[in-house]
Amino acid sequence: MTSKNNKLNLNEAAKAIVLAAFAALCSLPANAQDSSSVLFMNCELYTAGQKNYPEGALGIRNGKIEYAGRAVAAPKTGYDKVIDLKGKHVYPALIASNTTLGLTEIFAVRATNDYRESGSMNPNARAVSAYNAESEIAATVRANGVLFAQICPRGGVLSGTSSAMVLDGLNWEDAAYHTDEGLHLNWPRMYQPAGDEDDPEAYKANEDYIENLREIRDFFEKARAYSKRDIPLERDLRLEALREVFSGEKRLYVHTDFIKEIREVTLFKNDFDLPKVTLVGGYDAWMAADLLRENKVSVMVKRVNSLPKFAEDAVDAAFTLPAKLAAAGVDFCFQMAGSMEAMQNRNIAFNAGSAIGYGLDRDEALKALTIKPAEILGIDHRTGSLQPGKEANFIITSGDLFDMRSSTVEEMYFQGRSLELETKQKRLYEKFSGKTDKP
Amino acid sequence: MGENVKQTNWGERYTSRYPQTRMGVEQFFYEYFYRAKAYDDKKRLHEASIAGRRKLFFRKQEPAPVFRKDLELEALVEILNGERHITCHSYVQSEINMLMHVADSMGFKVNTFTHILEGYKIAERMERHGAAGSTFSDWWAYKYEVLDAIPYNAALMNRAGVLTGINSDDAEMGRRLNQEAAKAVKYGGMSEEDALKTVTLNPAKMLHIDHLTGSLEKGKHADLVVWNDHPLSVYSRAEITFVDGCRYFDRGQNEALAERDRRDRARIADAMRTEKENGSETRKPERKMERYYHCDDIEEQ
Repeated sequence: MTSKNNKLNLNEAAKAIVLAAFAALCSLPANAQDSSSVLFMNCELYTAGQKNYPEGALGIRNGKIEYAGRAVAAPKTGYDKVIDLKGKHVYPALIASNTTLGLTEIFAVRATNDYRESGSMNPNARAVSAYNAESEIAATVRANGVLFAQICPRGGVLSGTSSAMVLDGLNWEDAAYHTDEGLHLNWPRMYQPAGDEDDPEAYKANEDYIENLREIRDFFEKARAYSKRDIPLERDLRLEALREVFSGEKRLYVHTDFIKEIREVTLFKNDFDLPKVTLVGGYDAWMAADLLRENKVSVMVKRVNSLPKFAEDAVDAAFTLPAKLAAAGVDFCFQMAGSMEAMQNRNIAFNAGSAIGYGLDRDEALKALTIKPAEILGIDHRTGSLQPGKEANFIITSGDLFDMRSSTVEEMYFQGRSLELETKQKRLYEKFSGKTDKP
Repeated sequence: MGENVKQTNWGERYTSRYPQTRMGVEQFFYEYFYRAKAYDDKKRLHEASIAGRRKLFFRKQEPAPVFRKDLELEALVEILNGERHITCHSYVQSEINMLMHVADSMGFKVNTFTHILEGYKIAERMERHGAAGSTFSDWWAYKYEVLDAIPYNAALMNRAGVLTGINSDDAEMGRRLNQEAAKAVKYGGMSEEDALKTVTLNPAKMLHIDHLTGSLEKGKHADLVVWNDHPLSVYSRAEITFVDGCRYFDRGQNEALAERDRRDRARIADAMRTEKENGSETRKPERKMERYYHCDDIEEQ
């Protein structure tokens, strides 16, 4: 990570020198993206930290945030450029958690799918090595303010390890922001749905649950024993992949929805003394709020725009879940896993908007798109909020980020660099715009 | 149209039945509609001859001409005669334009193209033909046919004068179409009035029920929603819904009913626990699930 930073900074420095020379020759104002220091003035500043500033300013230098606070108190000298953002909003760049973005392009075209390995125990499968940095889907997601994505393998019992990616980069290695940060475990269900989604049949008790659980426990027991030796007697790639889960360098993401399984997950965490565990899905998480909080288990909360699972559930069960978790003090972030999940990441801010409509505090909603996922992914020391010292990763919008009625992301910055927000979809729009309009 | 007629998403085994390409789909349509025309001609002749026969009451009858009713072709004849509206599942410009050519040459109109994700490419052609377009707001990337799907589609079709609607095809999205309509404001700058029409008046027109519903006008059915905010806002919640003037949903009432159910469930669970503790037989829990209906489902649960 450090080397990558240095590389980028060197690139930046080289670029800055070339551009400074060019600007001197042509007497042209240098672009904001290439200035090594910029002060953005008079914006509504949402920091996802302690405070927001209705009349705020953001100062950046060498790719880092130098100032985030009131516009009147901002030091106005010493910046290469001062940009007035009157009427605009500034937020930290968003993070999309638990997604197959960059691991699939067209769901129905098998050749484009790279997220499901065969077999059930694949802890050593690494999503990062399958990541497509040129994903057209990622471009559309970025255009709506998402700069980072946690890309995850799917399927089986242990699907593999996920990585935090920046949606910018030449190839997967260049785009990797925090490599192999977590391992994904699909918890067996105590009750199995029968039939298909369109025609569900009665849930039946999963007769194999005890056996399924024993397989997981056996595997973890073996891996724990294996991890006790720094140099194994015989190398086993699968067991090796769990070493860092026991040490806490890797987080264990447990995918499960219902209350009985959630209770078992907290027991499992304690039995194996796992330092970092996050629940993914957590439809019933509100019922176990105390248990989750006491055991320091955070939640990547199920897509807000979801139907209730059972006939007796409230019609707005999924809409109100984030507000319930916030009220109970459970750490959570948003995610869009489910049908068409890769493309749906562009709607992640609107999902947060729906949760606000059902009682979630706006600041909590922003945090659950920025600093909360950053904490879970272990990247919060670098990004996730607008605080001096962190990377200058932010977006500028006209209108309310959470409401599709007015939200337009105008600019996105990564390490102080303005990123391209063009998409193939915008190009098609421009190509056809005006061609077929009725006079 | 799209991948279904070509059978392209059905796996590797479906490679021999006609049609496999959009070329075949076009010929398939022509073939069937010509057959329907011929059938209609034959039917008319038959009816004329029957009508003629009645007049020859006292004379010796000719044997009745043989005519076999074909229900499939009857449906196509209704399309040809403008008695049956067609809603066409469609994706890409080639097939959409092709079907309009078929329809123009046969003298009928395609009422509505649904999905119609490349409608923006031939919106002017659709407007000339008189077809409506009912699209998803922003879905794409799920199959090859939606490679060029753009969220600006609704705005572009609307600008071209196409009667434009936003549809869901999905039980989840169906309950927040107001948000999907708002995306037409975001992508392509549709006016808020027009955006609201894409989920109210315009679909009513497509279904030919706009004299009954789709807008708040004197004489129309009282089909109303009370929102707690601007209907296109992401924060807006439906508070009360009326259908034909009857209150079908009321958030306050709903919460009271939910509370009643919670109490009832607790009471029943308590009673069961007591029974169990008194040594009664127990059985494994099971439950009946709700079914989500799809647009082409005709049977009931």
